[in-house]
Amino acid sequence: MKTPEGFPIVRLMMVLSSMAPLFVLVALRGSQVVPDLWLTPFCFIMIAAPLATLLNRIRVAQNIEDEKEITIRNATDHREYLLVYLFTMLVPLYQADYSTARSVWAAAIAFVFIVFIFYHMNLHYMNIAFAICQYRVYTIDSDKEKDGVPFILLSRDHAFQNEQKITAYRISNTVYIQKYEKEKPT
Amino acid sequence: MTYTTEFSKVEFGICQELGDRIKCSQVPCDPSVRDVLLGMLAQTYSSLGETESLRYFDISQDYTASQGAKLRIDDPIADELRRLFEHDNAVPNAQIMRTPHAIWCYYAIFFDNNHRKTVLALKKANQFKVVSQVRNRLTLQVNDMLTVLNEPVFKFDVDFDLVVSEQDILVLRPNLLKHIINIASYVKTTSILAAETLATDLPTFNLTSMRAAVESKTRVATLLTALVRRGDIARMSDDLIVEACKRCKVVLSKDDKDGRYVLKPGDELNFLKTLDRRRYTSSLIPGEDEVWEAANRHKAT
Repeated sequence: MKTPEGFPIVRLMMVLSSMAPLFVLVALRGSQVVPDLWLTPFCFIMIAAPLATLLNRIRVAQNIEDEKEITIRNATDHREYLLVYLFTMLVPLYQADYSTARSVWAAAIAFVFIVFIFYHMNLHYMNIAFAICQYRVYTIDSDKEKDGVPFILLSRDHAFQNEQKITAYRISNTVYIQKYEKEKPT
Repeated sequence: MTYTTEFSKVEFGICQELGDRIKCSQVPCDPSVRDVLLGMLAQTYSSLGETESLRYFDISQDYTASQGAKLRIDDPIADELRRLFEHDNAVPNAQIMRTPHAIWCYYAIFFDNNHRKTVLALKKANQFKVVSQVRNRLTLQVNDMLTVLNEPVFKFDVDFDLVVSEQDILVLRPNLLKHIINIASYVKTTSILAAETLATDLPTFNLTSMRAAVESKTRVATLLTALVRRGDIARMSDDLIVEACKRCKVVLSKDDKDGRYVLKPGDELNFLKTLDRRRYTSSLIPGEDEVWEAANRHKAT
């Protein structure tokens, strides 16, 4: 069953935010075609703006108590997704040739394709910022009897009991971040 | 249960009618909406009064507007409501509000401080939909000018129709419950079995005409189902039933071959009413045995 994801801009920004390591590497590596005067600020904006949007979405969710009570049912830790993330996106784009205008354009188009795919596959929860803040990515099965749409929970917990009940902030309709009583900055 | 619980969280949801199935989705809402829902729940409990004294819901009963009732959570007629209460992790879908004509009901789930789902309150979305349908006649004062409001507008009611908890279902408007849980469909699927149960429980009576009556007359099917649900037919005395039928002018004849009592075809409803204490006699006037029928009755305590 199709469920509208909602928050299209936030989700796009979250996808871009997941590309932050790539922009760090590109800024460090530089390009013979684009001068550092333009490349460095561009990379900085591409890192800072999406991250700011994501943090703002979490802050808004906290302020308006956009929370959801979640019953943990078959939580699966998806650490292997990080490998997918690294090998499909980060490594090829980092190793791309940026010495000619054509190769820069080709890399930019490849980047757009990857963003498009990540956006449409709802892979916007892949974020190095979450990993730095010790959040793990869990897929939670929802109630199979009704609509059976699984969703993503970002949590610092290493394990869950079956039927454990937690509260989480809504980042998008299928991505939630666990609420802790003493909330640490994300 | 009385309204004493402190609720830490409220989730709002909408159920849509899509053909013959109901699809429910959570709709995110801000704290002001949650306050309204808490107010509605408080009003519902206030209108229900002392919930311990509520009588159990009877599918054949006609209820007045001010009469509450309750249902056990494991009652088969409440399966859909129990499933809705037990359903967790509904994925939010705010888009559902864009098709108000398909909205069938709205509900709120109230959680306590331990993240435990305490109650689910449900309301059939009548007013909720009506306002959304006349939205281009609503006006809003912007600065010093009245402007027609073209955005979708939804109106919450004063209270909920029913409240589901782990133990029972408290019903503020039992007559509406008949539509919410589709009693007609339940009666249709269980009345044939109820006719067989009646025949088994009353072997001294030949009730062959009952099955045909159940299939053709909704009232007979409803009354029979309600009677069998109550589960006291097997304890009834054959002699007392015959005596009551005689008093209430329900025609029974005795078959000489097998010695069983045969119900006169067409008298099935009156027979069931007699068993259900809806058809009774009163002898307050000397020499006159009056037969009465009650649409709404309950056991006096």
